[in-house]
Amino acid sequence: MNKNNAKIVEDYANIKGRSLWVDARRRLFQNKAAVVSLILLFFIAFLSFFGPFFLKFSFSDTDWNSIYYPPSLNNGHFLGTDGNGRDLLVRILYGGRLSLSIGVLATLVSVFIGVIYGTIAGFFGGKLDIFMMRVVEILYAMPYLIFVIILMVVFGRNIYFLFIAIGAVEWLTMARIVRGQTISLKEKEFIETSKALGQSNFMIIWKHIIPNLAGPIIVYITLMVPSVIILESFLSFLGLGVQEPLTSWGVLISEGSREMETAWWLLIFPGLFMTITLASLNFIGDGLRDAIDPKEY
Amino acid sequence: MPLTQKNIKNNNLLLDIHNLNVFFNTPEGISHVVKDANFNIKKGACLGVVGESGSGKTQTFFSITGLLANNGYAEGEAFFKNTNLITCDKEKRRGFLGKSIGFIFQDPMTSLTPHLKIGDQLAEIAIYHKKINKNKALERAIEVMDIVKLPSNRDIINSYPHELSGGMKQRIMIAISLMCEPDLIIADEPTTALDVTTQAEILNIFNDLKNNLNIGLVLISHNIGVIAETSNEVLVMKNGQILENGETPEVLTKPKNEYTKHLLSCIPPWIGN
Amino acid sequence: MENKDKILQVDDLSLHFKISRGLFKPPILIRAVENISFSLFKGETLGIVGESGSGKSSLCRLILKLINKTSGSISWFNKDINILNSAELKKFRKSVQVIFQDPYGSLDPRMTIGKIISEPLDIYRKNLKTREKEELVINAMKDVGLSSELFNRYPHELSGGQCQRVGIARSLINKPSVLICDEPVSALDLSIQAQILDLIKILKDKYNLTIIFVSHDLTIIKSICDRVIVLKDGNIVESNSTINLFKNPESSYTKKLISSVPSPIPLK
Repeated sequence: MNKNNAKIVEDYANIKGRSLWVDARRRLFQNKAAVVSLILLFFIAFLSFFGPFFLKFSFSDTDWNSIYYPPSLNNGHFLGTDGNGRDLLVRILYGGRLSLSIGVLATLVSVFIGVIYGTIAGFFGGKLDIFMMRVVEILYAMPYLIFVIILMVVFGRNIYFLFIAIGAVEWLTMARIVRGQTISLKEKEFIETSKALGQSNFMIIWKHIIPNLAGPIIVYITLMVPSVIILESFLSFLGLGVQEPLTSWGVLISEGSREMETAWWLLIFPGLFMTITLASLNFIGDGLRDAIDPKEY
Repeated sequence: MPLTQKNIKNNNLLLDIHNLNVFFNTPEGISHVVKDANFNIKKGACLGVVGESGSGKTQTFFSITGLLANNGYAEGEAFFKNTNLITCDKEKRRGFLGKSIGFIFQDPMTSLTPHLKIGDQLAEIAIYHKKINKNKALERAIEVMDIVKLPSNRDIINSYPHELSGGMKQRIMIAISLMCEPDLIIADEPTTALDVTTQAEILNIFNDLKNNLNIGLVLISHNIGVIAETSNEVLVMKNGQILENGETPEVLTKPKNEYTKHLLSCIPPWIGN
Repeated sequence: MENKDKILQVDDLSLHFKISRGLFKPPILIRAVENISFSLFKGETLGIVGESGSGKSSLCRLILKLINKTSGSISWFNKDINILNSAELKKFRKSVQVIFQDPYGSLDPRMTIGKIISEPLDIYRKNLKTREKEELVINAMKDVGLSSELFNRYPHELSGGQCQRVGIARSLINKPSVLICDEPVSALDLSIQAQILDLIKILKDKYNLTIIFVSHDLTIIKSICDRVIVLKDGNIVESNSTINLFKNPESSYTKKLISSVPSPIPLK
């Protein structure tokens, strides 16, 4: 290789460009609500996953001396106990683990399916697109609750089926969004140029369409996670979600709402954790949407 | 104030600009986009403004008409009808825009409201500024459509913007600016988005406005041919500064400034005879 | 000269599409391109001039096989491009390249300049090592007058003129034989237009390119093209050598076009 060019290659390697992500990150950190929410969310997630190691109670320990004990600092039950003497704080943290995990994992699964489905329908268009979207519309119209109940009845209350049930609903929205974005991207000149260069369809989708979808997809992920958490809570509230002694925020809220009049803390604290998490996710989603600003293309 | 005295004496002067500076507050500091501009516009004459992107040609006129973005501000003097448009209050300036000063933007596609009929958009401005009723406004609209050589029939009054061609839309924009009998019309790249044959027709309309209606015109363009066909005087701008200012034939055939010479050398040879 | 040097032959090419207007009105048939026939000879710069709606952009996309024709044929070295097998199609695409009007729109905003220019290498010369690819990209950048410092930058950090140079570098890196330029300078400032046009002329000579130059700007067409085809509403209205077309235009539309161009020499 030409010596001169070798030197040039080494020199320019040190000059990094300012990618659009760097700009977006700067704008995000200027958004106070988003930054506060990020910190809160991080704090709650950290507590949920690592907090229980520092507390002396486990989520199933029953303390027969302290049934329905209100929040207090003396006996270590900082947020009180429930009807079985189980410490509420620990149960909220364990519940957090479950709710957050389901929220994130189910969203990722539905994103994966939705992106593949949406890009194929949007990119290839024509009869394939029409057929694929009809399928989506039919599935949308199906009452998912009945579907979930049938699943639960047939296969028992297994946490994996909870995943499937939630994923089966959420991917539809993602597919529609991705398809719409793909259709508008498809018309851009850099896609046409790629085709004219002889690039294969798969590579165009992989190299050009999906990276340019990343912006809107990330925003929708942050807005979908709350939706999934609520869905899981709803199912748990109805008694279709996780089984005892495992718990999630939905289960806790469900139990708490029944004891609301006598043991207010059983509803208020799980509700507070859930509300803060959902609100934070929403603020972060809004902040990301402003930061990423599709006007760049 | 000595400057306004000059205006009254020299009643051919429509707009008198002195020491105009325009700034923008950006995250990277203050950006000085128009530097010490001095020029004037006379009644019945057209001032051409030539420059490339970033020259400040549009921001100069945005600052005079109050169309600057929120983070922009201007200093200096822009005398129009004895008022300094730079320092007067917003309400007063807004009173001029649309009534005595018309502004035509580059892209006719996005300048018109998509969901309103053409007749309504024409009438709206007259109703707002002159406080007349809708019928009178529509009468005026028909007069104005004649000036811009649009068939003044029911069809166009009742159509929506998307049903018209680019050339027709731009004529409507000119018509809207004429509704309240303006003294000054500023056109920012009015023909850039149009076909060459349509462009020729629009330029004819501009010449008519200047010659027959004695309206003062400002034509901003990067196309030297457009400037040559319409302007009596021309400003050449670069990086916020006016590098050359003079009568069009002089500037285009005997340019004094290096940049003007450079710009003129970039035009491919004219195709005509 | 005719058959030996003929690269492209377009015969009776038409592109029609229907726009549906709802349930109660019949669909409109848009004749974007109507019965167009012409030839492209090696080494020439063929100009295609027309206003909006003339079909010139559709014609480009048809030749590039980006959209499908309704009828007629396009032959590449006597082979109909519609019936090329995948290997031949790949060869065709390698030989016929394009630069579009919008300098920023033609570049993927999420890719660096280096990656953008090396995309054709990734498609056609997969066996090259990374270093070899980088060297070719740097050479291509030099060819079009871009500093190698821009290798890791992104399109939004470059000016319009620089972006258009990137597009040219990308199109020429695999040494195509035909370059289709669809309004390549219309979105650029005047002094940059002149630079890019000069660049195209230099590269044409350097690489023996055959060029199809599409524009609405007659002055540019006259300064750069050997032959001109005038399009109106999808039809060829006139076709002649540049000198003859401008000296003695035959059709009234051509005459009207020429007379509409504003003169930069003031006539006052």
